[in-house]
Amino acid sequence: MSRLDLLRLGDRREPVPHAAREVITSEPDEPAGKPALLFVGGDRRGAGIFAEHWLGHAAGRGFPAYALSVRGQGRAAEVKGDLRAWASDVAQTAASLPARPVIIGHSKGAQILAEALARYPARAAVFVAPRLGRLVPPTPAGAPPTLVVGDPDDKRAPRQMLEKAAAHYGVAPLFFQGAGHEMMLAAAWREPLDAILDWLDGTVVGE
Amino acid sequence: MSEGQFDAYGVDAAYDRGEAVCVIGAGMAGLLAVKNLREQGFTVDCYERETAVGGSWNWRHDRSPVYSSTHLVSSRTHTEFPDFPMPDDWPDYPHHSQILAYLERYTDHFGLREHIWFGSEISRIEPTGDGRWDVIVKPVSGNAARRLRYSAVVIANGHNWDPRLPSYKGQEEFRGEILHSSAYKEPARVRGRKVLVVGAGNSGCDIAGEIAVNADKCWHSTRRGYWFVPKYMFGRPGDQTMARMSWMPFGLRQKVSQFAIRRVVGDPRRFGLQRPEHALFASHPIVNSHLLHHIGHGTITPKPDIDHFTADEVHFTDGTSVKPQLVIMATGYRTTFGFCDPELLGMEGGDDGSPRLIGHMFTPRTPTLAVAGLLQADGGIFPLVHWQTIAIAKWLRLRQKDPEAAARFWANAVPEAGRRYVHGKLNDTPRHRLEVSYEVYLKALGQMIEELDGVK
Repeated sequence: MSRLDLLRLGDRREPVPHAAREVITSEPDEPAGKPALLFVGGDRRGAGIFAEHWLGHAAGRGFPAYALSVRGQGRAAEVKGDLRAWASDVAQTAASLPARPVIIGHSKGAQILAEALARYPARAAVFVAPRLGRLVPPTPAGAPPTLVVGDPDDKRAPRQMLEKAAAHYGVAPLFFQGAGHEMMLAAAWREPLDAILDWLDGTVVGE
Repeated sequence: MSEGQFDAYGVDAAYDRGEAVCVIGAGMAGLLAVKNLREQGFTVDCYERETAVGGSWNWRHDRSPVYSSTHLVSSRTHTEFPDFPMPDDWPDYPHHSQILAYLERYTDHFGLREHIWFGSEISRIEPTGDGRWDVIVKPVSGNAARRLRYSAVVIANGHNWDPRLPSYKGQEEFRGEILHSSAYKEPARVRGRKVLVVGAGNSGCDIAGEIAVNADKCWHSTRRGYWFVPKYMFGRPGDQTMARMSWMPFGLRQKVSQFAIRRVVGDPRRFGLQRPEHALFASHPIVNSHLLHHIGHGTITPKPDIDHFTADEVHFTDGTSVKPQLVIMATGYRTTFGFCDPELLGMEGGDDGSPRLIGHMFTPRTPTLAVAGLLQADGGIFPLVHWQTIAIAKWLRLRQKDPEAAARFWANAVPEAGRRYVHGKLNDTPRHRLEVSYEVYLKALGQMIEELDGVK
């Protein structure tokens, strides 16, 4: 496990300036007392890919669901940023919600999530088809329960990558053969999401 | 403990809260303690004498030192908690009402409210002899005291609420009004009056600036020379500019900053102030941009230390005198723990005996009593207190989980009691005993947390 960075010299020298963010929301009809979910994507499409199926389905199962476009993504595309700025966008959005959310990062969004976890103690962290990059992710604040989900045949986040990410957080990866890299847009989008929500129901709901 | 004490509280048996930890105070430090202890899996009972969170930052509280125009003196990003950022569209130096809103949001976001007992004062804490604590809790209104037993106590009662008032010769004869700065809230109080502000701490200088534009006349008495660090240097909050120089060795950074401040701010003697005799950072720096501005506008008249009072005059050490109607003493606060024996905290007695603690947190007397937030720094202290409470929570967890490792940690820690975490030499006045250098202390906290985590 990587070491703690208490000094945060980068941030103390040059704090990330404010930039517009896009949040798409899908609330349950009746509050079910379940934690909010915050979805983070890894490319220019941003929040949009989660709005397709996943947000509505999660809300249908009682989870208030939010999808974020960090700067440079979706409707927040105007301002460019780097990993530190994107992680700050995630921490800012998470901290602005009424209660501690579960944060779900997809693909390169999983790398943003890994970085954001050092500056925000998420209720739980879910890495979907994570592409964490070469750097060792920082130590998460508050040791959130963690889940790693992916398709072992996914060329962009293959089996070893999933296993490496899972091992870093001390968990076992959950495989969905044939789900593909962009499982939230696939025909079988429901299966992996239901598995994630089942895991949350068993891990953090009613905690 | 004597039989009499039990009788006095009308409580003869302690309600045992098992492994729960007691936190005293729900201000900034107490809230951090509750959140970070809960994160380590502890049950927490937090007691707060007021009916709301926020401690000093809650202007509704009668012990709050904030006045209407209080703003941070460290910038937002140097002040926010490391795991709960302040909104990034807030200004560089937020207003005290924003800090309270931030603490309230922290409370609700992490669900801390249900662990806080409001309107409850701690009248006493007593060690039971086996490492546990009896805590006597009394409602602020009413006297039905309760005795509860906890596995540990974290003191987070703050140190900016018990006014320290100096006594000058002839002060009793003075017929004008004398206020401690903690009682100053609104500029309405000074309108049309002649006011003397005493003390050049951050609050003394801030209040003098507020009074300058509201009172008929404002004098400002200071004892010695100070460094005035502007709120902005080279277009950025001063603390960011300083952080950009942190690659330099400390001595060089000190020289460069002194040079820059002398060049930009100028020689304080030109403004009728004394030249600082100490090096920059050797004493808590005053972060203030408007004092010299007001002196330049003639709305503040600087004065040296007070020599004595007469019935209607205040005489200064340079032989001059003024006739103020109101004197505001911005002379700081005493560190007070009314609910426990001073020896428990290694206090050497006397009014200003500061505790001798391990890492400004633990008392060498007993491993289950900790203090959070009892420090001053040359930077925002919120992050320091966050990591303090992480260290405290991890220490208490290690004691339960691995007594052998805990014993090793404690054996190494006890000789560290009273160690100072400062660059170079600091002035040894009572308030400076709480002083730490931000980076030196943060590094030490990081090492302690890694030791507690078992990282070698």
